[in-house]
Amino acid sequence: MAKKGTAHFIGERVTSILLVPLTIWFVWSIVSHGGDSRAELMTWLSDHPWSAALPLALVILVSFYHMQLGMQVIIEDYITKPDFRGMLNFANTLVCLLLGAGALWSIIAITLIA
Amino acid sequence: MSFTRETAPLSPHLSIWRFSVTMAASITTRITGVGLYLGAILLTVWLAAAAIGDEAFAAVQAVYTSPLGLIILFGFTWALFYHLLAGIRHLFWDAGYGFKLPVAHGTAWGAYIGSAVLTLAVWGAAWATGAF
Repeated sequence: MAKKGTAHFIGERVTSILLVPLTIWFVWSIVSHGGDSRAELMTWLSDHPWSAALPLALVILVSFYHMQLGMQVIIEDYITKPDFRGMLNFANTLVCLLLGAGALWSIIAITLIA
Repeated sequence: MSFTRETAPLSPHLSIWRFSVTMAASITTRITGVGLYLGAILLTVWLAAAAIGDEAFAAVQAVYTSPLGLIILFGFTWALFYHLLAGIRHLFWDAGYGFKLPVAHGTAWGAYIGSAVLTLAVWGAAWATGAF
């Protein structure tokens, strides 16, 4: 990823800082709602769009961006063959985008359906 | 003689360094990062199942609360806490603090011990409140 080093560096730091409070909120929420039935989980998210669905969506958004950046560093550290490296970087970005979109779509669906 | 990326020597020459806890902390941060990448897939599957329907959600809950599922979730919790504490350690480094050797060693041990304590505390709390 030539000429994108500064953006990558800043992106890693900004997502790291955001993930400190988001992770603490996430762990606390999962302890509280990990054992929920589907109905309870849906009620929790749809009844608290600003204090549950939104922070959960932020956890997803920021985490998947952080994951994409972090995995890219690992790929570029260990994979030297340019073609293979490019392929893995593409796959990494694709996986993070698809999973992130899937998780976000799920949160939106749950919040609006319930 | 050509000297390309493919022929360049690899660093950091793992075999010649005396072991230190900071080395372990460094690679553990990376390994837990990869673990959390996989954990994020579990979270996505859980949310997607909840969005899809009762049967899908019940099936996922059954797998996640099986003995193997709970072991994996326990490991996911530890990886999350370890990566969080190691990440905070990195943010302090970025701000210019924590480089003195006793501090760097202490915070490395702190990340291991702190993540173990927090993991046990969270699972203790989850167990006490009947979350599983």
